[in-house]
Amino acid sequence: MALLPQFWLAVALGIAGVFALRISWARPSRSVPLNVLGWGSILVSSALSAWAHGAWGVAVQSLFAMAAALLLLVPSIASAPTWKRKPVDRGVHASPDTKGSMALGRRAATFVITGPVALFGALLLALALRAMLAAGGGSEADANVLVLACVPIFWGILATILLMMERRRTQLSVLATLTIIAVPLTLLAG
Amino acid sequence: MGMTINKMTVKKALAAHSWVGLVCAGLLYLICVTGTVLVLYEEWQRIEQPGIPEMNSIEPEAIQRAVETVLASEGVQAPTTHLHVHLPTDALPRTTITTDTQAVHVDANGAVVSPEENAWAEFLLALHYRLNLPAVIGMTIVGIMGAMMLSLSLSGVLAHPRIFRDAFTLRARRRDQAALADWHNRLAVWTLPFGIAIALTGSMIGLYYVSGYGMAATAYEGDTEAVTTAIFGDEEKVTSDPARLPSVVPVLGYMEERYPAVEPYYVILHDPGTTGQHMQVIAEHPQRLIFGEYYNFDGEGRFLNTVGMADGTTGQQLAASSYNLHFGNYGGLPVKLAYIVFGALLSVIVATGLYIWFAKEQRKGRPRTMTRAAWNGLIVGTPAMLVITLLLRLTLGNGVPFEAVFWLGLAACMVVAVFRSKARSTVLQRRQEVSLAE
Repeated sequence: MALLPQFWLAVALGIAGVFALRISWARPSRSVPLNVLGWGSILVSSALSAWAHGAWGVAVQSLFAMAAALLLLVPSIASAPTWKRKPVDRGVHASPDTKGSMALGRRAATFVITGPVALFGALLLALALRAMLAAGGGSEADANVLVLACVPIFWGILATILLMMERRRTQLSVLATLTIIAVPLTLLAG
Repeated sequence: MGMTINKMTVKKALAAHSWVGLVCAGLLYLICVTGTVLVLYEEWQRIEQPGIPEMNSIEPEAIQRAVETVLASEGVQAPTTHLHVHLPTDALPRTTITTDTQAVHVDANGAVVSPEENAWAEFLLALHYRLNLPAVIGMTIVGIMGAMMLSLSLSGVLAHPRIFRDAFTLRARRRDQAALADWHNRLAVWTLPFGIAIALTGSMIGLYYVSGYGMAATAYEGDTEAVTTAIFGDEEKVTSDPARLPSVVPVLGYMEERYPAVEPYYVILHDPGTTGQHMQVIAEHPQRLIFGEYYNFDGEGRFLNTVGMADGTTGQQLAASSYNLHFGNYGGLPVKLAYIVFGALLSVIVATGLYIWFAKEQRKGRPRTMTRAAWNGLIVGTPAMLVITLLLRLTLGNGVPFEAVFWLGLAACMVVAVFRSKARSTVLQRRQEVSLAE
């Protein structure tokens, strides 16, 4: 099946958008018009490819844009000056988690909280959404796929948020709040 | 882009990024490398068995002859419950029949040519899909890595407030850590959409046992099959009374007449030779992300319905799209090549991520020599062992225990790297002692 002309236009716009961003970001100061042009072209390109060939169109078009961006890195490699000086021994800005040596127990607790416990929290939240969608008249297939898609997304976000919290109590309160919200929703809507 | 992230958030995000990266890097690297190689799954099968007859299409009558021949060769005691006919496709232009107990290639006339021997491709698939572990454990671990890849993408963006602003800056020829960090960050930012798509679809598939059991427990009284039935359709109940074998000829004739735009690539016979027998055709829909649509037929070859992968609910179409989007088989060789490049870059991102951490640790006075050596062993050992197992397949045949060779070989690579590093540091220490003494 032949590709529609608007798809090729979308591909061209995507590449042009990446070019516009390249030009904009190479300037010493920000250029709002160029940034808008760049991001706008990429957005229009995605919409156009979706219109032409649906999700397939967006997937293929995005490969072109990503490839173009990576190719634009090549001149950057070639033009980068060779580092002749001795490597600078930069100081390390110790982050909260890397300061000192964290006790093994503390590390294990972080692992358990951001791993299995957070996964369970993400699952509860996804199941609550499923129950609400099903109760609202959504199809069974949609509800089930919602859980399949939401569990990794919720877990990825939750794990990141929990790891960015310094205090154990804050982590546990987030998880507790999540459970308090998710469990009744699952039970009520289910 | 006036959005700014405060310094503290950046530090915390960087700490979260390091934490997840340290825990997951090894398995993530292994999964990225094997996934990159697995993009050519069909092509590897052709390389493994180069002499098999290839064809652009096969006549339905020839398929029927092949089906009858294969079923006649099956044991009477335990008749097969499913028979799959793989029809020739662009990526794998071969006709292969698989039952519960055997898999054979057939020629264009429907004659059985030889048994299917693609143990290396199957090993590679199992390595990427479930780390050669039992499905429940292995797929879940791989799914976990997918979710953690999403977490790394999020914390990576938060940890680098200038990640987009510097997206085209690559100080590749500096001799310090900046070059390494630039490679890591630039490749990561430009493969971000690809990385997120791969991670999300992979974790959707891999975490099925967690999500599926959760749904089964709360909505289906523990029936896990009901979870997938809602998405991929039901399988009819079996009756084991004998019946005349079904014919695929009217089925494929119907497909050609009523659905000329789709490309059938599988015919599945359920419970052939019983009164409960029925057939399914899986057909690819060109320029769609879905892996295909199921077309259901009864035992007499009468069309019943479609499942709805192509035109059903959004959820069904999304679920059906996750496989192709993950494995890159939705646009022929060009898309596959793009996936290989981006997959290789993802592997580089994972590898450089840990090297950045080692460099930081060294500056803090903790060189982590042994861990770094083991990491070197893993980085080199993973692709090396894949090449070695493939060479063994091509020279020694299908019976090589690929799993054992790969895992033992990889472990050996890491151990050797550690010992070499240890020996090197001992030599350096002695030299220092000698020069001090002088």
